[in-house]
Amino acid sequence: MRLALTLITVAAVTVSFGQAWKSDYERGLTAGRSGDWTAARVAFQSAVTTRPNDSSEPTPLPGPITERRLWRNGAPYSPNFLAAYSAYQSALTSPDATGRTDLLKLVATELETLLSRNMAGSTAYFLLADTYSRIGESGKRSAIAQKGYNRKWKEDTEIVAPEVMAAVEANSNFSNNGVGAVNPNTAAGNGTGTAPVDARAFSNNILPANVTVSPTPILGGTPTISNKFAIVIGNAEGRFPGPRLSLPTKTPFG
Amino acid sequence: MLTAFDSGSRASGAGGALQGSSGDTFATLANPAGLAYADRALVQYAQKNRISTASVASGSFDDPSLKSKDDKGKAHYSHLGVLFPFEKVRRGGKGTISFSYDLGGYIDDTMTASGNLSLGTGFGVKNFTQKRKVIQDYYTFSYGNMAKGGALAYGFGLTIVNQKLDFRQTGDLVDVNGQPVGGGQDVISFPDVSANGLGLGLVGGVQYTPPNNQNRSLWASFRTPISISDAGGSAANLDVIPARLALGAAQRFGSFLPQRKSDYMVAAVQFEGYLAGSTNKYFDTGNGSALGVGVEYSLDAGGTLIPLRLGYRSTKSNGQGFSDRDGITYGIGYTPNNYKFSIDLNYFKPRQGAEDFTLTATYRF
Repeated sequence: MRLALTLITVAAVTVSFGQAWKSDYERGLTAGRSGDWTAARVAFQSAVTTRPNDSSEPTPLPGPITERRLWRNGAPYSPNFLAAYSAYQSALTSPDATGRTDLLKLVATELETLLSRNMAGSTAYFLLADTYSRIGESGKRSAIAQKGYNRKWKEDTEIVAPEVMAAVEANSNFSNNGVGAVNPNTAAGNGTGTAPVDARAFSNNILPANVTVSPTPILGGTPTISNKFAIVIGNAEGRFPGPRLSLPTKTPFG
Repeated sequence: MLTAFDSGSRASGAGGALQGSSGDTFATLANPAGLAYADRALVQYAQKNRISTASVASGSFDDPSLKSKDDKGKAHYSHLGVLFPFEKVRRGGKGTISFSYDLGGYIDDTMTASGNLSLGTGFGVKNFTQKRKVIQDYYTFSYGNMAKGGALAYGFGLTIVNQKLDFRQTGDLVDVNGQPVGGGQDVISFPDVSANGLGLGLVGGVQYTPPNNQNRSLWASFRTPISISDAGGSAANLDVIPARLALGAAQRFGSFLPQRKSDYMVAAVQFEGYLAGSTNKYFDTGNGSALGVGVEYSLDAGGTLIPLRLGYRSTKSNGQGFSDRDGITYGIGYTPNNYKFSIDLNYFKPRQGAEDFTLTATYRF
């Protein structure tokens, strides 16, 4: 009887701990969507207590073994990254300069940990570089540029601001196109392995800050190519403070 | 065929090895825990051929030598099931209810004799014929639910069996010279039984998915022995359907082909034990076992799933008058990307005897 009770208790606790990360993570996403970054960070950190490691791969859900059901349609599980991102967002909106710097240092530490464990993709890498810029750690920024990041690693970017993603994309293209003097001995941009990226690829400061950076514009005009056309569908509203995308009221086709 | 009968599940193409892990209406009887994973209401229909056996007896009447030949027979309905997740019926509802009809046991055996069969007492039987036909219909009502988070699923149900039994022997008692003997009923009686009985059983099971390895599934299910109320009596009494214990495990693998990343494969094994059934001369269903191993490779053709199945199944004879039935299984399915409708076709090719084929249709609401 005692053995049976013990087994049932262990099973219940195992099952309970096995699934708590889901609700914590979902709560973090909900808080992040509504801009409550403090609550989001707490929730993501809570998810980490029951499922510690970020995962680039989809998370299978319980179900008939012959049906592959994936959590959130196969999204990566990134509570450590999103906890750091939530802190990053909190820092940007903090009115207290000292508090902002302290928070950004914490963000840098957490993202460095992910990077050292090879669990940082392009977004985490960009944020770390940007954070270094904001706290004046240009030396560290150069150092991680030499180290590079895991190009196979995927992060959950559902609550990452579109402006950030645009910057990541722009910088990724920048480095992939070789404009940023990618180390020629490695295959940066070929999607394999870990490749160093030139620090200039991450010189964009997409947010207003008192850190001096050499801006590479990510918004605004692009060179006209006569045989290329595009339809741009955008949302002028952003969750990111600072400059906003302004769309033309007339199309070029007029 | 009386005890380890598969009514046409998709698992039958994979040696029956995936039977206890299904999450459809076949789970109602096989392992109700699988119902817990149903996320949509669905209805399923299956049909299967009903094999008949023609045997020729020789030698002794009491222990004849038999030469049997199977006939594949025509397809008949073998399963009809419907399930409803409570969440679809009522907001916040937990678990799934299901009702199914299954053909759970079937034999149709006709025996004739080549010459006279000796009785060993100076008598013999001339013009001997024997007909055995049993149909066991299972009507099952089950419920399945998940423990917190879904790593553990459990289910239980009630099954009612309607057993139709026909057993008839005919022949003439003769002496050693083959001449008819008067007063033969004092030496031997030929049963002529037709019975229609009911029985009640319970079924329950669990499925476990380790939280740290959600590509693995372990399961166990148990069905109680079922006593049949009117089971024929006399020498042909089939009054107890044996208990059934099934234990299984499955592992899901990603695609081995880099260019087909969305494909996946499941490998499984299931053991079934059948215990404490009726034991008599004509329906020996005492103890038996079956083992199935198989794989299902799900080919993702742009959202349309095409499962390909291959397996091996070995069913050991429960007793006298029944033979082992071993062979390979294979099958194919088709589930368009709207996921509403699917169809499965499965075959069992035994080493000896006629093959089985099953056709299963599923509609999800």
